[in-house]
Amino acid sequence: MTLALAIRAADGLVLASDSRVTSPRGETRDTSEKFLQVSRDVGVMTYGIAAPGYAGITRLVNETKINQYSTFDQIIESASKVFKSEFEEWLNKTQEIPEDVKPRVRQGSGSLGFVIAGYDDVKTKQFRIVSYEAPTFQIQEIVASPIFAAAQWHIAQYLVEVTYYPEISVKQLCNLAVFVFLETTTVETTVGGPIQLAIVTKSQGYQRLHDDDIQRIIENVQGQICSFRTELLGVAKAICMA
Amino acid sequence: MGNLVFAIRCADGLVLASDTSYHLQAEKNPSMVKVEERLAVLVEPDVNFGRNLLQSYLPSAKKPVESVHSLAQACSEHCKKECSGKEIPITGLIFAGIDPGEKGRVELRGIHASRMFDVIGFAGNVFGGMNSIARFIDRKIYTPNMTVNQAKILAAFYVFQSQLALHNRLDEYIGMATITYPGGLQWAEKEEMAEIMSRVIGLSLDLKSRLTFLFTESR
Repeated sequence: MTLALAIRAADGLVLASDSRVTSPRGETRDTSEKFLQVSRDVGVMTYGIAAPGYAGITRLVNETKINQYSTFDQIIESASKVFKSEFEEWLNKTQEIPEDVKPRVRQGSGSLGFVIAGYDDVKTKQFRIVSYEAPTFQIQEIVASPIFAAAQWHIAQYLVEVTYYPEISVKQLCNLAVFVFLETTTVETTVGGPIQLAIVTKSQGYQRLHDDDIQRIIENVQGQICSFRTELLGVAKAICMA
Repeated sequence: MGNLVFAIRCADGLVLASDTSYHLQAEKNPSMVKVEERLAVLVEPDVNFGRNLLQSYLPSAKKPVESVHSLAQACSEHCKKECSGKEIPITGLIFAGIDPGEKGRVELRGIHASRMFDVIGFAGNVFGGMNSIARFIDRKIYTPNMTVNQAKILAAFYVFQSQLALHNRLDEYIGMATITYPGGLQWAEKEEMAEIMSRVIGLSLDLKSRLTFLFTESR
């Protein structure tokens, strides 16, 4: 499992993911690359089974270059076919999953997913988040909520629910995303490893944050982590004082 | 619809809570089953399957229950036999109570389909179903010194906070019971739950108002 997040800020988007991969046997490693830049303003991220996930995002990047897709809509429409075909191809070839389990993986939802997020400067002139999930990989646009969280998403959804406000800037949202990852890893062992973070703004387009920048954010949010725990302890104190 | 069940250890007993309670009555609360005066079973997350499994065992058990562990062990053997070779939904049972003859020590045991229904003992609190948020908050603020009356508010707070993020997956109700040595198993009545919930809503609003300013430019 993993944790994949796409969150909208007032002036952009933040994409975040951990780098832990868990094999069907339960072994974990923290080296997985889970997102790539597709065009100037668009990024793609994967979660779930690592091999077809990485193949899917790599092929989308290549097809976007070859076919010179220039709009957000062109990218998200072609992505649906790319992800589905990579998933089917992998499922037919893989020996990681026993043959009798394959039909269940083929039909089941949640084993593999993708998120495309970025700025649509042609049609809507807005920051957009779109998700795809096995087995259909149909386009699901995230409109009503500022956050899309996948895989081990419960704690992330909760933390965003209690700390998010619509006017938040991309800079503060990076802090919030890192905070969410650090807090999630305190409980969920399948989420972990170095945090991967990218932002999309209108002026700069897609930008991947370097490890040093992420390390600085980790140091910066220590105060918020302490404050969060103090506030929660305040609840316990209020209960005990009653 | 998912489900959330858990048992919290307190200084003077146990608090059992779930998100699925239709009328806060013992027989109508599908996630909690009263077995004896001081013993209950929580069912998660496939409630119907787990409840049927438990109820297919209980009438055939003619002897009174010796201990929480012995009931869990007997149910474990029954479930292994019933489910052997079958494809079954993910389900688990949490056994919570005070052993006959023991005056206050609470016991918690569990069996789960994913662990071949082997009996597991728990030293701390136990969470089942969609429990990540409840478990997350518990890890931050739980203290074993609480009384059952205090822990009831804490339990309702866990469920309420979980519902904030999982609102379309959890039931909107909260069911609760306590097990203490003198009082036995007691269901929280409608009026008491209303009082607890008004307290929890106050605490939650207060928390939300302070946390919203956690990520601002001024900090």
